Amino acid sequence: MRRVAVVAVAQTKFQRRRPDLMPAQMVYGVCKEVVAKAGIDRSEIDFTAAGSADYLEGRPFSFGQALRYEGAWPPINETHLEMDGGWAAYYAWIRLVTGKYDTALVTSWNKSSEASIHHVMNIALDPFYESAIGAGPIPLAALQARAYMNRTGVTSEHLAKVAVKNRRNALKNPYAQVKKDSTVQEALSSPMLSDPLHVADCPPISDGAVAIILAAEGKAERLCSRPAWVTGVHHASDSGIIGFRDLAEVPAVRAAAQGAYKMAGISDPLRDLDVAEVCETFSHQELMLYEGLGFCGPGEGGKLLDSGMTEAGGELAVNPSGGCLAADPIMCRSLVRLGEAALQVMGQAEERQVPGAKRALAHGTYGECLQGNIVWILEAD
Amino acid sequence: MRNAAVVGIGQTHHVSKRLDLNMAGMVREAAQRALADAQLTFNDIDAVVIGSAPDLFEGVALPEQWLAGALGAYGKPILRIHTMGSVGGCTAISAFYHVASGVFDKVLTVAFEKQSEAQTTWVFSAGSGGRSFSSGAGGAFAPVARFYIDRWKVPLEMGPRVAVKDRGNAMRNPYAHWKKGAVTLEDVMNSPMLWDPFRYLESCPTSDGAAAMVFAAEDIAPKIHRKPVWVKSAVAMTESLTMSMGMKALPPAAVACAKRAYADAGITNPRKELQMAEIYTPFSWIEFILYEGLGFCDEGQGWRLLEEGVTEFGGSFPVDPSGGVISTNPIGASGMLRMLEAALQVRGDAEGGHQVPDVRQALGHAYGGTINYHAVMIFSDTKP
Repeated sequence: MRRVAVVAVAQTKFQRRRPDLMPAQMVYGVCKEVVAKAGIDRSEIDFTAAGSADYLEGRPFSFGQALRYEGAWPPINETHLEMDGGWAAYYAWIRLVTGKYDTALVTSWNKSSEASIHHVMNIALDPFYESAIGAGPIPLAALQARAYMNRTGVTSEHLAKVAVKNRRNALKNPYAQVKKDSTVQEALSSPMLSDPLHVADCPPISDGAVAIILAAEGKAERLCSRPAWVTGVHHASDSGIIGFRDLAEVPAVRAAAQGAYKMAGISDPLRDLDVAEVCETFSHQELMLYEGLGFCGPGEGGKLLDSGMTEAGGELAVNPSGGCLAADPIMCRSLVRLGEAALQVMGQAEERQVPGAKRALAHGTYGECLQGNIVWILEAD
Repeated sequence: MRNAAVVGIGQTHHVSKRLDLNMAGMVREAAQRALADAQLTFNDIDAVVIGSAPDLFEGVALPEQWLAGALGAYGKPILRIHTMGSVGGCTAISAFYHVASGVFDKVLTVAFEKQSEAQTTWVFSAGSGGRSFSSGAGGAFAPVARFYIDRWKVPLEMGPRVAVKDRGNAMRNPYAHWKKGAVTLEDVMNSPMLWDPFRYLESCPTSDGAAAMVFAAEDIAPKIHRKPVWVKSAVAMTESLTMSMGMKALPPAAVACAKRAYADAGITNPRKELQMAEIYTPFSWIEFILYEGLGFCDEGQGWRLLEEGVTEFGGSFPVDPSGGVISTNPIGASGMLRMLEAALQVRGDAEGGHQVPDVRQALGHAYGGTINYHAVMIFSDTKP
């Protein structure tokens, strides 16, 4: 299979509100910056993929407004996905693997400050049984957290520890939104939003945009001194009907990880990987991801966290950027993880750099309770 | 890049309201028909690509999440495309590249719209450009048609004649939404004016329907279907919404898209080397602009192709023998229906009498937005 790499990454500083820009306008800065970082002219981009959601922007066809900022003149080879930008990157990867193109721009943006996330995500649920009961991301995540805690014995302290770790990591990430050095006790005393999830266990609401450049072998080496090669990638969906699922388990995370590991030849991820950026949209999900991604055995997520191995200085640093608990631009979250993992492999993660990182994992998600999952393995030569 | 072929084709019977099925049931019906055509089951499929136009059409946000189960995608990749009206075309193109890349061997793709769930013109008016004057889709395209008429001094009955052609063609397509029989030029001219110059009978309906295709890799395609339909070109081009066309009634993205598609297929004279085309004409006059944009004739000559009968069902280069978008418009699916119909023509399987004789190569086209999104696929009975 043809080798493809991430060669440049640009992101905005994520913040609670961007009142100065319309949703689609947020991509202008990152598109311009990422093209400059790759040192190319936009005419050299063979394919563009974008990801966003109309409903979060409160109007249909909203993404059409972004075309001018993506540089769609004269006409470009472009496709928009009504999905998280992480899947736009996947489609761009597919296009480059064909050998027909060499360079792709991938971008996504999110301005959920203008939406009611609960109400938008509520109407993404099964409309007959689950939307009708008023379910949404936080209460559903709470059900999942409780089911997982019951299965494994993971405690509220474990959840709080994830939140404290990631937001402490975020202190070193200039793009993160919520960053603080706090204690488990402080996290546990934050208000209970939906039992067992405290405010500290939940993501912030974030506005922002991200863009990356993917390039195929032959071109990638010319655009980047240390490209982050995609050596494995796969994605998989679970049921969107929450009632059909055992919420204490994450089979679609396992399916995505197994596909990516097989492609990359990884058998012992905890040892083979140097760093992982995962979409823990709620704190308990990071522990579920440890299991689903094979960093530990069944029921051992809490134990792995307690061992300190996933701390910034640990054997496998997880979310040195701060993850989704530090900034959660919904339609960008998976593309940001891919970008952060790439920056680690490229050695460009500045203060949050994991020293000597050669092989990284990026995990993305969409839907509720880790329904859809994508796993990327990135490696330096 | 390896070759890929269409090995399964299915669609629902398109109607105003599918009260017997919800969205999940409707997409599954089309998927099952495509799988039955390929003699495959959901278990044989490696990945699913779906497409639909704005989620506001049904009021279900990010529907791929809910529909994953209906499409047999548990534990598998599912991808959702949305490029406005061209989405059905771009979705089929995406499924093709999933196979051509070598990453997957068998990919199911489904595009749909269940427009009875919401009010289409309201949704269009809530989008860019028309929010304040409730223009709807027709309102967005009417100025382009008006400009075309003025620029080339076209006789005013030519637009209505597109409706006569397409609604007549629909009578031979058992899946078409339009069932009220062939219409005369007089019928069209006497129908109410909606968005000058588009009258009621010159405008597309709102439909409930879904389309599905299965693409397979070149080594397995001939084992799956007795007559695999090979993809020679799969190109989508986009330009900025607001810059579309400038002061010309010729969409630059259509021109660029067709140029690349013909280059990939090695076609220099489309009207000779293709035997028919299914193009995206939701409103009558747009047909001529597309003939020109897709290089079927020179600029300003599009209307003459119909006047001379070239693009009629019995003509030398039939366009939209299925009845086209004017006769059937489940928006998200409409683009894929063009691709699917072109593939059926190559296979010789167009039902109900709308098969064009001896089709060896055919073109499918879809557009979206302000005629700024374009998708073209070229199908052939011969492996490239």
